[in-house]
Amino acid sequence: MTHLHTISAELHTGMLVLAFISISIKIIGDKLGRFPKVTQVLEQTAYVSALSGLIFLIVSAITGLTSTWPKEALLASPLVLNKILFTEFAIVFWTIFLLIRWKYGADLWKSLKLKTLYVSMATGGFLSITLTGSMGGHLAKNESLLDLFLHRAGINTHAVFILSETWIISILAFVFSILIVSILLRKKYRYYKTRDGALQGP
Amino acid sequence: MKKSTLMGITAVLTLLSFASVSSAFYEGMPSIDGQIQNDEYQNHYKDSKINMDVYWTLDEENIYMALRSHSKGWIGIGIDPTGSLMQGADIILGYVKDGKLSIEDNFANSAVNHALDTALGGKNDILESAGSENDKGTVIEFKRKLNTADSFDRALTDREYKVLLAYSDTDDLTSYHPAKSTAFINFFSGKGQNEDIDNVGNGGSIVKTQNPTTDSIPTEKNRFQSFLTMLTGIISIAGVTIALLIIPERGGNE
Repeated sequence: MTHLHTISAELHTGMLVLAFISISIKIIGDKLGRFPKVTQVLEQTAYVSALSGLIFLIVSAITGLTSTWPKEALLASPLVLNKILFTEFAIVFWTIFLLIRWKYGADLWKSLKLKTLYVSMATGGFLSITLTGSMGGHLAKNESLLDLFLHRAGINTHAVFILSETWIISILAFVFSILIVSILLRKKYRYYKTRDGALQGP
Repeated sequence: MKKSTLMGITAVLTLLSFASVSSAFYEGMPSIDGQIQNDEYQNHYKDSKINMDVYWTLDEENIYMALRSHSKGWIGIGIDPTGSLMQGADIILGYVKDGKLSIEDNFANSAVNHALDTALGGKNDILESAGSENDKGTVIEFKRKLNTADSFDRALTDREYKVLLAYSDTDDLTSYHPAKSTAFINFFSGKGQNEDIDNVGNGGSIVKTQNPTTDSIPTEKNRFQSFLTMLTGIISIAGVTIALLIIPERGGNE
């Protein structure tokens, strides 16, 4: 089972990095207005590799929890707690990434909002798996190349990443405020403007 | 007989006796050859909890140590952890593969991790080493100074040390140890006892209650906070996404 964790960790990292690189090249290609066929293929590549990557990420999370160290040792390590935290974030980012692509298809690239959201999810997912990979490096070999950047940024992955109650309440209040505002905006917007742009009442 | 002749004979005899005692002392030192012979070591601690043996002999400057397990993976010893679990322990571990010993001088830089002394800014203080492996198990032998003057090693003195013993069935040094035990050993007096099992080892009732520090280990509150942080993160990511999807796009082409 330890080997299964190693294999699934390698596979999800490779596939999700491929998804991120594909999306990055797609954006650059679109910006430059060149290589439309290549960017189209890369867009599909990102979707497929993100899907496979997410499956292996979940397998990796399960095998990591069940087959590497005993529970007492896992919970005794700040590094492991941080790794679990960012693995969860990565799963959420890549799940939303896939849901957006699944719901809107390739048409998402025609909407600035969806495009921004889609790329943001890929970026968030990529950064999360980069961090978890770095923590995995520390757990396995006590080192990670990313430390060069993390140490400069003052980030210590050996200390538990936790938010204080004040921060948690503030963030949640902010998110719920945004949700309420967005619902109100949608109602207001629908009242005055339909999808074809004509001003109408409900 | 002249007085000077008598003094000369006395001096020669003194020198000879000193030389014979010295040579006997040094001839008694274990040979680091990967084999443990009967009575090769002056001290032996058998940990019956995990069926692992620790042998050692001291000279004025060095400790000669042998570890034996009944498994074919890595085997290791951690001396004097100062924090929780293995944190702060001076660790030596190794394995034998294809007849060749791989041995490392490590330091536990966290409760659950250890790194090469050299990677942490220290030095490798294993002076000699050898190992062997067969169907009966693994033996590693090594020699190091009692005081290596390395901040990532423990200077061994005449006191009792908490000693972590472990071995695995694989050669992967990062694999978790299925067999582990804690003992209390005084390397100078040769006394040792297992933390969990009474009357093991070669005498002495020297079990102490340990008060490990908990600075580096996440507390129950930390774990709960970590869980809350995770939930907050997930709700935030999902919440902001939903909010963005709800907000109508300018031009209405969502």
